[in-house]
Amino acid sequence: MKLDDINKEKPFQIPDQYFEEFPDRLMDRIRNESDKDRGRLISLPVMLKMAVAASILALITFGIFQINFEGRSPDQILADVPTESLIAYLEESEMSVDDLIETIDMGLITQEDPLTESDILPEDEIDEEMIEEIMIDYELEFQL
Amino acid sequence: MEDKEILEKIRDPSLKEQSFTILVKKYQQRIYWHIRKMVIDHDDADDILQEVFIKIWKNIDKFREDSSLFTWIYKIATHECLNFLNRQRRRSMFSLSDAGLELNHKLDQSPYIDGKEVQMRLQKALLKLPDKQRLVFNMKYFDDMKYEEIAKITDTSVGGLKASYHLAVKKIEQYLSLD
Repeated sequence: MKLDDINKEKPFQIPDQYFEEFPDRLMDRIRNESDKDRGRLISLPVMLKMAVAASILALITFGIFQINFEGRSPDQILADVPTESLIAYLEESEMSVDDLIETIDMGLITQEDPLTESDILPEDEIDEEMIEEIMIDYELEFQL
Repeated sequence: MEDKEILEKIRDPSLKEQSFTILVKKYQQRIYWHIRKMVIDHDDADDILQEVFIKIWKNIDKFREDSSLFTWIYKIATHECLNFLNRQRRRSMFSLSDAGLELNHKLDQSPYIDGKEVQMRLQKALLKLPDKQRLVFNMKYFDDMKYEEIAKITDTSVGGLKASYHLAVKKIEQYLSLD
């Protein structure tokens, strides 16, 4: 069969009044989104303040840590803690099996390279839109 | 109203909404059918059409008229369509379903689809093509667009488009000859 033998008519239909109603529906949505954007702009300085506060806190914490433990590695610091105290801490803490598994070096278990995230989701395929979509999927939208 | 006049009025804040509505009314049908042929389902086409015009609303002040308004709008619509199909493909990758089969399913099951057998077979044959080739075929075959116009929208060469269309026609006729 040749394409020329086929009528170019498409098998698609649309609801009644679709094109008559579309411009009004669209303008309603645009007006709603503009109102939302205005709300976001007002709350931006609050976010900025929170970000500055968090940065200062992180700097102070890092500074104190540097003063107290300068020149010593985490291994050395941990070596000074008695084993009984460490066991007691781990028993008291709420570390789940999943948390423990995460701390295991997978390279020690298998010689084969484990499948990395980039194997199933190449970085060049991750765009802002995809991240936004995933966030919406998991209802993690920013509550500003 | 000519595009130039619409654009001038859109740039006047007091006339922006009114003249934007004129722009929507002028282009909505052509853009809708451009999208619909790619995504098959009416509701999907409706969502994408809204996104296209919202993007135009937000960016119309940045439009510098390097290309015609028609080309610019088509470009946005084409981009939104391909993004939508890519997202669907990624989703179906996670859910282990087949994006091509999903479009086929929509062709069989979605409301607002009712065609003669031969037209449905043509649509099914089109779904066998890669998205970009299907896009080129639709613009050339159904919309009777010139290669030069399609080249501006898709940022490809006229030669490449001719080759793509020729191959698409061959594949489709081959599919239609089966049975």
